[in-house]
Amino acid sequence: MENVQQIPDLTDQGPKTLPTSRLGQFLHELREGGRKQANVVFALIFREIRTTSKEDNYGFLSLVGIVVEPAIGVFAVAAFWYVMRVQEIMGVHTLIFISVSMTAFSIIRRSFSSIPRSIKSTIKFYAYPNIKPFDAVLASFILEISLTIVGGLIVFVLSWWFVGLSMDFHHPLEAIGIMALLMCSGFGLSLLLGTYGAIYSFVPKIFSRFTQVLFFTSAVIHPASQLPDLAQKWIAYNPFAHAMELLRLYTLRIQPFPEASVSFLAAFSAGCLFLGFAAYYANRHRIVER
Amino acid sequence: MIRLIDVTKYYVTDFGRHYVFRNVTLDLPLDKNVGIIGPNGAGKSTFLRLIGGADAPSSGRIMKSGRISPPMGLTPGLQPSLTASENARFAGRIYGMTREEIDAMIKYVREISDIGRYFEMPVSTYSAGMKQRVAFALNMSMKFDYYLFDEISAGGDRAFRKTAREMIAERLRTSRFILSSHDIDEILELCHSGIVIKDGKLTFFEDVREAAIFYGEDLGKGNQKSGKKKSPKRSRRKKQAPDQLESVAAPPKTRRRKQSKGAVAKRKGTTSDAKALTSTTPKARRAGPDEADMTVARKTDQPISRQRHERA
Repeated sequence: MENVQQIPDLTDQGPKTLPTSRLGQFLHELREGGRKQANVVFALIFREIRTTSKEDNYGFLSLVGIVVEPAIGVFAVAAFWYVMRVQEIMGVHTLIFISVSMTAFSIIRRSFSSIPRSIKSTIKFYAYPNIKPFDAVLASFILEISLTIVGGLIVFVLSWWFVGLSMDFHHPLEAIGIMALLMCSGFGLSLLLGTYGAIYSFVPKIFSRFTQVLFFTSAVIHPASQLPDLAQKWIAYNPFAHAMELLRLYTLRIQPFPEASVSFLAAFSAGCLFLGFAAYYANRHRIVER
Repeated sequence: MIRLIDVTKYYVTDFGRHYVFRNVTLDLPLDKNVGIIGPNGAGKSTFLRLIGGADAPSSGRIMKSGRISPPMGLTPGLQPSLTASENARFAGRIYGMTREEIDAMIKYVREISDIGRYFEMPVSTYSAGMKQRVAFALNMSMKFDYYLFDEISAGGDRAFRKTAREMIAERLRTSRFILSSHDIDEILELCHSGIVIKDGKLTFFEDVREAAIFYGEDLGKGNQKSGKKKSPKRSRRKKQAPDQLESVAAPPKTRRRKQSKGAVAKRKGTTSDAKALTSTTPKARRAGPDEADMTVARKTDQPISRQRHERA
């Protein structure tokens, strides 16, 4: 029993004196809560890396797969356009045109398919009172979206290094804003689908198929402005198409279709976040009970 | 302090709401170990999960101060694809430990769980007993104000159970625990106060012996009402309850002195252990040494427990 002296004592953590004012107490609780949350998310990210590399059939390559997925998509679609003898779309090289939209679409695809599954895959750990299903989604989102963005950046660097193609990024802040809105909507959707996916097993299956439909209706491989009017009218209902068009406007100066609107995308992102949090709040006990 | 204020817990089933308990208001004492008694499915584990924060009440509030361990029991929170070492590292990270603390903790868990080279192999390759060893060691590797045990003695071999008892006794110097078990003897031996959960009702008793008597009588009544014939073991337990309680509540040394030679031999495993080893089921033999050990532990438990009643 001599080891008992070495073990960490969790009974005397935290500052001994608490602030007396209400604001001080509130800030102290906020800081403590944030610290605990950060510890849990950090631990879950490391666990996600270890388990993904061990449980997946491809081992560590599955993580590499997340990084190279945008690159593979870009080169596949660029090759398709090359076979069709299309080298430029609206004055921009197809490789660059595709790489912008493909990176953005990878975020959407991850939000629909793999990130929602994290709630169910972490179910064993809900016995730890610190870990909540929300942390699982957050950890998985941070990991997968970071890897996807790294993958997108690799494509840009490769295009610039080997082919000599570059983007002017004439509105970098706006482009970052559009990406942020996409991430917000992606996180909201992940939370929504993850919550209901943990309760009803058919939900993830349906929505992972739904991404294939989205790929062709979100103006990923072609500009929406070149589509017939009727198609443009229908595609205007898809907020992801707005995101793609606006992203290309701010990075490549390609004019979007007339209906493209930042406010529509922002409203959709806010709606997704609201629905995600509301669904999670309403079902948070039900998820843990299962 | 753990305070339950008007707590109700129910699960939604196909047949409507299944209430585990309703409108419970209760203060769990700071300085006492609490045993939870109840039949299968009564809600003992749910109660522990509520206190541990792994689950939330359907209505009402639970106020807690101090650090409470996660409920440790037959379903430990271990990731099957990770090794025991990685699981320990994960637990350490959750609680925000430093790297040095985590390393010390892993060393400690390795020593206590004593599963040899399996420690660096995925948990999915472990037997049930090995998983429980690791989960127990993992929880004991951190100091909490309260430890929550869910059927802690239901698995594991004799040596592990001995280690577990020693560690619990050692930890009792600074912490308290809440234990749920079917084994009333175990509850009587380790706890001061008791909670009986039955038929959607939760009753707290300052004295654990009162809880045991309440639970025992209730069982008897239930059988009589349903018209079932009482088993000899239960009927004996009911009649002899007060004496039996005194005997079991006495310190272990006193009890040993009262035992006959045969009973001591049985306790040491010289008779019933040998029988149990030879009578291990083919299923347990197929499952490997650990499963076989667990079977032996269960088989030897029964005579010892029965022997206590007879002795009383």
